[in-house]
Amino acid sequence: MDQNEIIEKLKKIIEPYVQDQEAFAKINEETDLLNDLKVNSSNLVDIIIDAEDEFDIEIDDDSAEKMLTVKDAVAIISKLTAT
Amino acid sequence: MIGVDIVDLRAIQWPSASHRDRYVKKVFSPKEIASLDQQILDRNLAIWIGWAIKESVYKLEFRTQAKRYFRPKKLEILSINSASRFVVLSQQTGQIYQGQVLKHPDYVLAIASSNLPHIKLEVFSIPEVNSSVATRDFTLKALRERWGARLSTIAWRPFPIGYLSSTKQRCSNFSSQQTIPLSTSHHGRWACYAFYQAPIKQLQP
Repeated sequence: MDQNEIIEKLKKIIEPYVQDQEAFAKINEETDLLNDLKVNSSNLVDIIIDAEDEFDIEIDDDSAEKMLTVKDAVAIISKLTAT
Repeated sequence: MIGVDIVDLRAIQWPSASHRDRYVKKVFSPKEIASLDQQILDRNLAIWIGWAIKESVYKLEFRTQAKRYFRPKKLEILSINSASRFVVLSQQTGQIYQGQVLKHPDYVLAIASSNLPHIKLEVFSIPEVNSSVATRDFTLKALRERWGARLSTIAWRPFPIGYLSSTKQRCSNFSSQQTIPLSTSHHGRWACYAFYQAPIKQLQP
């Protein structure tokens, strides 16, 4: 799965939890889920669970800890889907 | 330092029971769940109280450590008693934190601080769901009411996580800028602030 495909799927996962639609419209690799998109921190767990389902992967605590930006999330999902 | 977190219970909706169970496993250890279940019969309420506790401690710890991480299990709830007082161990830093939970039919709130008697805490409803602007404005109004004429300027200094904020104030009686320990939170239709009420001269710069 290429990175663009991951980003597109990730955007669909994140969208229901986004509180700043303006920032979401300009989403890029550097976008921070909490600070930029104003995702509630409790919803980060939901995003991780939804990503597990969408990509058929298991994101462990070590990986989840690093999923703070779009770039982080894509890197982790790329790695897990490649194995 | 202070950390607060509020959860609007009416804004919570689990997509499925299995989603909830997986959520719980990612946030709590089996020991924590057993402990929360012992104190709180309603499993959903137990989850959100546990979440609010961890988030309040995270905000407090982040202010003192300034190291960002997202791993709820690193904050271990050691105990919560019948008076809703809690004790948390940070596996990140080895620090012990304490605080209290407030329960309301519409929300739960946790406040982490070692100086609870000196804190002004207020919960309020916000007109627009999840409005950080409304939360900030309401809090600034309360700060101005508390500090009055001694407060010549206020600068809202957001920390690089969602809801943690701090104000810096420049007082007419002092030449140096001083910080009021402050924490805010909002979720759904509810928001809250907590700040120290200590005299300015007793606050840390």
